[in-house]
Amino acid sequence: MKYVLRRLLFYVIAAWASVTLAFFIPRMMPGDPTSTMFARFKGKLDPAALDDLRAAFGFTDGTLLEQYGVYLGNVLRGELGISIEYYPATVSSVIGNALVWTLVLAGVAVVISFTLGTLGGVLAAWRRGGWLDSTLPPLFVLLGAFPYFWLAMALLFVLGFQLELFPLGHAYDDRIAPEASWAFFSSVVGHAVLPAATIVLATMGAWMLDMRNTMIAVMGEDYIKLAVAKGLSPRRVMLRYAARNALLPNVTSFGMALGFVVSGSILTEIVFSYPGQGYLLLQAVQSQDYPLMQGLFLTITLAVLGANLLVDVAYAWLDPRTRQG
Amino acid sequence: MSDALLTVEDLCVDYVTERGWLRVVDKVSFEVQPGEIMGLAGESGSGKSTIIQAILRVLKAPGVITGGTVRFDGKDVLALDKRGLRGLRWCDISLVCQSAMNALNPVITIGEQLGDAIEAHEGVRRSQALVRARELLELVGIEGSRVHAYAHELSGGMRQRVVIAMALALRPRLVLMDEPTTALDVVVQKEILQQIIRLRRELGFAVIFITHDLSLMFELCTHVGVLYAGRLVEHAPSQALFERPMHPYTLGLMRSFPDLHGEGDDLVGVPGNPPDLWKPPKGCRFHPRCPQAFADCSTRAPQLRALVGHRHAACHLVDQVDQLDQLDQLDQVDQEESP
Amino acid sequence: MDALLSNRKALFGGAIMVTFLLMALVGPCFVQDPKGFVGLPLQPPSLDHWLGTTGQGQDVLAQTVAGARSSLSIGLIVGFSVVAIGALVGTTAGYFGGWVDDVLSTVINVFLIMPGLPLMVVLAAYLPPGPGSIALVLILTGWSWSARVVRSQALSLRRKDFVAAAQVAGERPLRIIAVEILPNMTSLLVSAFIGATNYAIAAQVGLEFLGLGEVSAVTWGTNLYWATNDAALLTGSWWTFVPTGLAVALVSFSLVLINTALDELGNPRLRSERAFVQALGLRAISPDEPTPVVRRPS
Repeated sequence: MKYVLRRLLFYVIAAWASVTLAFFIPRMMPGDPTSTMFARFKGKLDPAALDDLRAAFGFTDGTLLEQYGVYLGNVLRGELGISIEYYPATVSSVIGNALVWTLVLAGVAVVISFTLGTLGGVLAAWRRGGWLDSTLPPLFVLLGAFPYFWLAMALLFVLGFQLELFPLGHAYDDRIAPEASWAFFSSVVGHAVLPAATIVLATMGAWMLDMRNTMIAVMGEDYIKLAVAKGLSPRRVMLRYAARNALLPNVTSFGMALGFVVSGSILTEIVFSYPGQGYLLLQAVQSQDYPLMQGLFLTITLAVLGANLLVDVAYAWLDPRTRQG
Repeated sequence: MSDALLTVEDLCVDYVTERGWLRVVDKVSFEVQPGEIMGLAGESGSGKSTIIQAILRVLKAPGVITGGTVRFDGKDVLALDKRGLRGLRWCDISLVCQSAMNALNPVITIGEQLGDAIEAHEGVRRSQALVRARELLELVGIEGSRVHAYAHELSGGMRQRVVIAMALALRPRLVLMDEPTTALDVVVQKEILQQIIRLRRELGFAVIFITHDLSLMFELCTHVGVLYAGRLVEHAPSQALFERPMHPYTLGLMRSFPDLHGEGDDLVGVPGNPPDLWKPPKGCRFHPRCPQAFADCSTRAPQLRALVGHRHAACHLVDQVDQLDQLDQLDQVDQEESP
Repeated sequence: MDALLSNRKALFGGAIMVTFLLMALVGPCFVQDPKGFVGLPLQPPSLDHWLGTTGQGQDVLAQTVAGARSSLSIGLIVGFSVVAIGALVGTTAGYFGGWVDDVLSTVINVFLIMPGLPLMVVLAAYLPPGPGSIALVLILTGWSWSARVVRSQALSLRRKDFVAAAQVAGERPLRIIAVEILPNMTSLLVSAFIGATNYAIAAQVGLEFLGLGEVSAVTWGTNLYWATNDAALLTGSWWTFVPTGLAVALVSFSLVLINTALDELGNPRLRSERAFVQALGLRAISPDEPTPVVRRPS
């Protein structure tokens, strides 16, 4: 419990740091990007609305500290301003709509990739130098060397455009109403296969190598030797003794790598025109929609922090030493 | 002696490395009778642990068994396949690791670790195995309710007892103990040793006990073997060895005592360091450190020879003269040496 | 160095890397003008244009070769800076310990946990587009990883006897760090540099693919940006994105290979294990395998 609380404190600090970073970045930049930003609103907004927006971003006449206070209050209330591209929708509502898709896609893909990769690492390490160990890791290192979005392009090109096995983009078929129907559900799954496969292919190797290396370290421990000496079945020694212990450090690195994976999945979304955070991010970049960009930065960062908290809870639950400590 | 429980004959073990094959255990032979405690002593690197791990065939890379035989109750252990070994392991021979700290899996309960061997070998259900695990804990003086505890919740002494309880789970006939008390403080050490003696009396298993603390060994063992640089240099009933060591190295070991940490690598009684096994000294491997070495020692390796009273020693001093004269001579040397 | 040359992974990885470095240095002299309109747009590979032409009628081969220069140089510069900052922060945290370490570790972990791309995007969007901005953004978002590795190494080196000896001798902390600690983590720094360079190349390509670089420059990232903008997938012109992607992957793969090889060389256990497997003609090592019995005369 103490462990989880300590981690919780860290996440509060991290969240505060990212929110503060988002506040200072526009104010520290060379030139005057904020006026450029508001200049883009002119013509779209009446002066009163523009003032509201300034206030929402904390660009008031007050001192920097006062501005910061206003901004923090807004963020805490979930007010991230108004999107330029999707005017007059608020940034929060635009992001909210897209968040579900990213969570589902990245979430499912990451879980599959971590599970498969970890299992592969366990098996490769158990028979070190065996055929599995000498084929899979190099193959996945090679795959991992390609940029995610390039793998996405290649998969989409071959399986989507050339062989026409998969839809070419979007989260579901436009002709199907988004409702709780079998047709809609299967369409969503069909559209998610390629983007998810891309993320799995690109990230699996890293989990596998990590797990393989921690497995090898764990397999040098005395309790493994003792488990073998006990005449237990190889499966039990491998899973209950070696893998169960090797999983712990791997869960930690899983949390650490989440941010990286999310970044990659964002680029993957772009290739598949998948209506998630990545797609929004591209829109925001192309139309220089600064409020949306910052909103996305905050949302994605906080989501990653939240996911890390979950990982920590899982860790605490997996490791009896922290469970009781 | 065909009634021996374990017969090790001319056992050789090599480490296979980039530099080549390194002989770390060289033609070691000994027997263990049912119910006896046999001790193996020697500095670190002398091959003690390697020998007992080789007996169970759990010695890891780079270790390879390169010669000799190991018979347990007539079974040729070196000829067994994986399946046969699983049948031998724990049912017949069990192991107590050097450090109880690392011998227990930190993420599963000790009850599960005590029980899983029973489950695996006797095919009983988990609940039943857990009942047995409780009994085992009580056998070594730990409350049965601690089956739900994890290793980190126990003190060092308790952990070591758990490991001993684990080794007795299937009532094996031979327990291999690799320095089971090294990491513990003196008081706990005493308790554990007494427990081992009591358990052996009650359950009647035989033990191979490894330590570099000879005084401890005399207290515990019926027979003691002394290893130097992978070779057995002396082997005798413990009482006889205590009263009259035949090999100068044994004498040195007896005069030294382990340091406070129980590591005891610096042997006060034997100046110098154990030899580099890549370039072992010619002749007797101990001669560069031997206070009684003479010309023959650096050219000819002494063989382990049977002497009166079931004793064996590998030393030219013993070979040279008639056995009884030799004992007198050793006595004199002894007196000259000690102030 | 001899050992390095006898390692297949190191040799292979090094060969790829040297090829690409040469390509980046002198390659542009041998190919057509990468920006020039040299043929019909979206032509498949032919004798005139070995790798075809882009949607703007530029030569793909020329663009791939020219892209290597900017992508590799930014990668190396960022890799170096990231390790330099990481070494500075990491050794400070690890050596001084106490509250200094607490504060710095928290900062390191905050940066480590933040997803890089959104932060990069926000930063890059405000900065004027160009290689300098990209490098700055990559350094800001990338230093924490190397700081973390360096810190844990510094933490363990601090407890070593030679550091204690220097402290007792009254050496100043700065000197101890520079003379005693940093030289003892050379191999770690080298591998961190290789890893950081790899990260920098990949992240740069990603940012430029988003259109956050200078889109008129020729780099591997902008090549891919233009390929999608010119509907490479829709028109089936695979040659506009395959060469650049392969180039990025080859460079990244070679860096990983070199790092793995360095790791193997620095790990004697791994080497002796290989010797063991070869000498015994085993197929694999497993905890489950009984100690082998090989009868052999002494």
